[in-house]
Formats: sequence, C-alpha cells, structure tokens
Amino acid sequence: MDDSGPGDDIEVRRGWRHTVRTVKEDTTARWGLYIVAVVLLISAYTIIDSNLSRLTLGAMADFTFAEALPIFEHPERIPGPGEGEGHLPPAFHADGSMAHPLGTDPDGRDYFTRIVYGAQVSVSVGIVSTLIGFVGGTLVGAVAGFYGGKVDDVLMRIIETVYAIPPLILIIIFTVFITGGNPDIIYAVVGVGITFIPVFARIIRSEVLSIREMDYIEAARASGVKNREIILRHVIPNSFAPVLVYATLQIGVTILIVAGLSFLGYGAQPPTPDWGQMLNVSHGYMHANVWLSIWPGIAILITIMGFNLFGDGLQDALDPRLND
Amino acid sequence: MGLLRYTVYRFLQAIPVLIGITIITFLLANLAPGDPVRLMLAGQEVDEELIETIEQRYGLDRPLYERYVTYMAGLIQGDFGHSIHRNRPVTDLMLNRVGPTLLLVLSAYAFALVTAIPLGILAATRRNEPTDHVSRIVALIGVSTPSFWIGIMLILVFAVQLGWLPSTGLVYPWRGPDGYDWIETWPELIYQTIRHLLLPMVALGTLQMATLMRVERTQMIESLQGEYVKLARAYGVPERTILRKHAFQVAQLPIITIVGLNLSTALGGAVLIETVFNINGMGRLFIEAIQQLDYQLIMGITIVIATMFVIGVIITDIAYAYVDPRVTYGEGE
Repeated sequence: MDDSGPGDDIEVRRGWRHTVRTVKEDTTARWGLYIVAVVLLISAYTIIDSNLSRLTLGAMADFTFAEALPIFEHPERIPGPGEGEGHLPPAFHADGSMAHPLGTDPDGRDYFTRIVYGAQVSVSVGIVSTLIGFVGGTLVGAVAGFYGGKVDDVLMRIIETVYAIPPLILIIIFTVFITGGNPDIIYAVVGVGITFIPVFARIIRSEVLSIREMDYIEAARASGVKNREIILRHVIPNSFAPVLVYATLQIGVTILIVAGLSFLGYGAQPPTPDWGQMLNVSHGYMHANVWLSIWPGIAILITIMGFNLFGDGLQDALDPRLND
Repeated sequence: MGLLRYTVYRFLQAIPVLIGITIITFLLANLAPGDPVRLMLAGQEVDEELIETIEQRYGLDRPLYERYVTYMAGLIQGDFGHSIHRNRPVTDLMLNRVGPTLLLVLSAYAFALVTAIPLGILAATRRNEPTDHVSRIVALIGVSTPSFWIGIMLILVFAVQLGWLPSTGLVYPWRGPDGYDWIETWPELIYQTIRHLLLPMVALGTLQMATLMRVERTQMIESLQGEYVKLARAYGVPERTILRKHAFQVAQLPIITIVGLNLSTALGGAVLIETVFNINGMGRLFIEAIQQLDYQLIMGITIVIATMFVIGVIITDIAYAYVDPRVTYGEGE
C-alpha cells in the first residue's frame, strides 16, 4: 500500500502532462481547441447576456445587452409591421446590407444574431447531456465491471437492449411520452443523456475489467478497504483518460443528434434560436430563400468539427499505438 | 458445419435482447404520465363514457403484466396490435414501409463501402502525403455534418439550382413498371430508381463513409506494420500482393463490426432523411405516429427497427466469423 499510492500519483500526473504537451504540439488538436474555445466563449457570452438582461431588466424586458452593439439585435423578438423586412439576403448579395450581415429570417429577425445565439443551445445541450451520460455510464460501467458475475450480466443485458434502439428514436419516444406530446428542450437533454449511458458504461466497464486485476486493487482489497471506496478512489480515476477522449468526441455526436431532434421539432422550441430548429423553419422556404438553410448548417459543422478535431488530438496523445 | 451452428447460436442468443426490446418499449409507452386515449382525444369534447368504452375495448383497463402477455402473444403471431388512431392493424400499416427504408439504408451502405475502402487504403499507403490529408479532411467534414443538412444542400444544388435530380420520393423496383403509370419498361424503372435514390443515398451514406474511411485508414496503417507483412516483405513478396492479400484482409475485420454497429445510426438517420426527401418509409411513419401519439404504432415501429438492428449485427457477426483468417487460414495458403 505504501508504495502504490504515491507511485500511482506520479504515473497519473506524468500522463496528464504528456497529454497537454502532445495537444500543444499537435496542429489538428490545437485548431480543434481554438474552435471549441471560440464557440464556448460565444455561448458563454450569450448565456450570460440573456440571463443578465432578464435579471436586471426584469422578465418582461425586451432587450439584451448585445443589442447595444451595432451588429446585434434581439434574438427572439419579432419586429412589428414596417419595422424589419423578412427574407433579406446576406450582405455580400447585391440586395443585402451590412445592417444584417447574414440577412433576415422570414419574420424579419436578424439572422446573424440568431446564429450567434443559437450557439448557447447547441453547446450547452451537447455538454450537459454528455455529462449525464458520462456520470451515469461511469457508475453503471464501474459497478458492472467491478462486481462482475450476476450484476454484470444483468446490467450488460439491459445496456445491450437499450443499445439496439437507435438513439434518435429512443430520445423522441422518451421526450414525447414524458411530456405527453409537448416536447421541451429540457427533456431532450435528459433523454439524450440517458440514451448515452450505455455507450459510456461499455467503455468504462472494459477499462475497469483490466484495472480490476491490477496489484494495487488487490492490495487495497487485502487491507480491508470497502468495495465502494475502491471503485470511487481507485477504479474510476484510473479509467478516466480513455473515457475523457470519448466524451469529447461524444459532445460532437450529441450536438449532431440534438440538431436532428430540433430539426424534427422535438428539441428546442421557437422562438428560442437553435440551429436545428432554424433548419426546420428554413426547410419550408427551400425554394424561396436558399440562404436560410445554409448558415445554421455551417454553424453546426464548424462547432462539431472543433470538438472532433480536439477529440482526435486527445486520442492521438493518449493512444501510444498510433504514435510512431 | 461450424458456421451453421454458430449462426443458430447467434440467433438464439438474440432472443433475450429481442424480448428486452419489447419490455422497454412496452414500459416506455405504458408508464408514461398521461393516458393514451385521453391524450389522443385532447382538444376534443371529452366524454368519460367514450373513454371507458375505448379503454375496455382495447384492454387498456387491465393490469400492466396482463396487457404485456396479450401483446406478446399477438407479437409471436406477427400481430403488432391495433392502431386506435387509424383504426387499422399496425402490421398492415408497417408492411409497405419496411421496403423503402431497407432500400435507402442498404444503398447508403453500398455507397459508403464502395467509397470508403479504396479511399482509406489510398490514404494509408500514401500516409502524410497530400492524398492522405485531403481524404482526412473529407472524413472530418463527413463525421461533423448533420446528414439532414447534407440532404438539404444536395436538394438545393442538384434539384433546385441545377434541376438534374428529383428532390422527393423514391421509385420502388419491386413494384415493376406496371406499378407506375409514367414508367413503361424495366430499364426505365431501374434508371428512375437510381435517379431518385442518388441524393438520399449520399446524404445518409456520408457519415458512414467518413466513419468507415477513418477506420479503414487506421486499420491499414496498423496492418501494414504487422509482423506478417514484414515477413512477407522479407520473402520478397511484391508490395501489391502484400497489400491485396495480407494487409487488406486483416484490416477488414473491424470494418465488418463497425458496419453492424453503425446500423443503429443509419436507421436513426433514415428518420431524418425520409423526412427531408419525403420518402414513405418506417422513419416517416414513426414521425407521423409520434405526432398522432399513436402508441401501438410507435411500439410496433420501434420493435421492428430494433429487430432490424439486431439482425444486422448478427449478419455482420457471421460475416466476421466467415472472413476471420484465424478460421480459414489453413486452407487459404
């Protein structure tokens, strides 16, 4: 026990330092990190802005602080008659103007503002539901892998079963049945999170199965440490690295699924600006206004690409097999 | 013989999973807050007596386990229950919808495999050269783009702007030319089928292509570094033969597994692609059922789609056992 404790510590720390260094040196991972950082900053700003203006100006305030800047308008308020024109093309188009860099939506709202504010839904939903799946999957996977036997069998059978239903379908059923046909983004987040528990549980379980046989676990067990403590103190922390990579890549997948969910009308609800939901609206104007369908897709693409690049970089850093 | 026994074994093994699927779907539909009949009649004049009659008629007033047993008894005979909303058997409603979805998913897979494997090998053999970089960027964009948006963009370019390809619906070859009043001959039917299938196929297949391409590249790189390849090189076996015979076969094993597991994503994606392209498959039927809160139909579709996935995984498992060089090695050389 005396040697294994601090020994582990050094091992883990060296691992992290190595990871950080590799990410710094790896061009793709660095670019991924830049994109993720920019998207996170934008969504953090928009979240703070909408909540701060609500807090300081009251719930009825039809104003956000971003509006003080010349490039933003209110992301949700629909301009009254004569105030704003709908279906304006982007600025580089002959009929466009710099007042609306990406044009306006059918209701006359500034599309650029809505795209920027759309980041908060996609990103926060992506992160929160991945976290739910991550935490739930870690617990289930650690318990299944550590105890083995009957517990493992039962949990794995349940997971296998849930796995057989395509996530998108399971999430739609979950949200619609829980809400009785009035979908809401909160239920979508929980639904996505629960659906991803099996995915994480599988990875954690296989990690745990290999860690379980390690000497330091044997040592802890021999010195009378309780199972729960072994799982929390030793098993979970040591199986963390591969799951972290997976979680980063999973955020991209989650954003992809939530976009599909909103596109079908079972994610974010209007007037909340959300990329998938904006594509749902623009699908009806495909012939009339091509631009409406283009921008939200590009926003989704860039965001997910950021998470994927970063995740790939992390994976290269943590998987020595591919480094040569 | 071994393979046959394995096949039977895999199918038997799938039975608990299939039963599990029915339990989960049944519980989701029946334990949800709100009662299906009331939800279905929401917005209409609610007559308590009518609700009771409907509930009695469809056995909704009986305890949960009894309803499940009844449901399963029907399921074994291919009866998915009765859609209260449409007043028709669920099995009838689903029958014509399976074909389009299978056509779409299988063609998307064909597209993905035909493009991903050569590109992956090319990238692996020209590692860190421009070809490799380009194919990696393509793969990265492929895994980062929502399939339904690819569909929308394809429609905008090839249907709306260029007018080359149709943007909605599919043509089903199994109906024969007589099934359409605007198609006369078989060649024309095949031509129209392909024309209608192209855009949705690419939209649904891009994600699969990108995923498979990445795996193929990694596997080929690993496989080209294997001891057996080194040995073959040492014996002076030509590089082409090494690539084709030694490295290639081993690298395909993980591809087979991933094809099976990704079926889940593809079936989920079919819901989106069928919506974008107005294809009357299982995916669109699912969305309609969800909108109408048609519980029986939702349960039926979920069970059928999950079963498709389970069967797909079994088929790929069998294919894996068939291709695995550790099984056929002795005869091959």
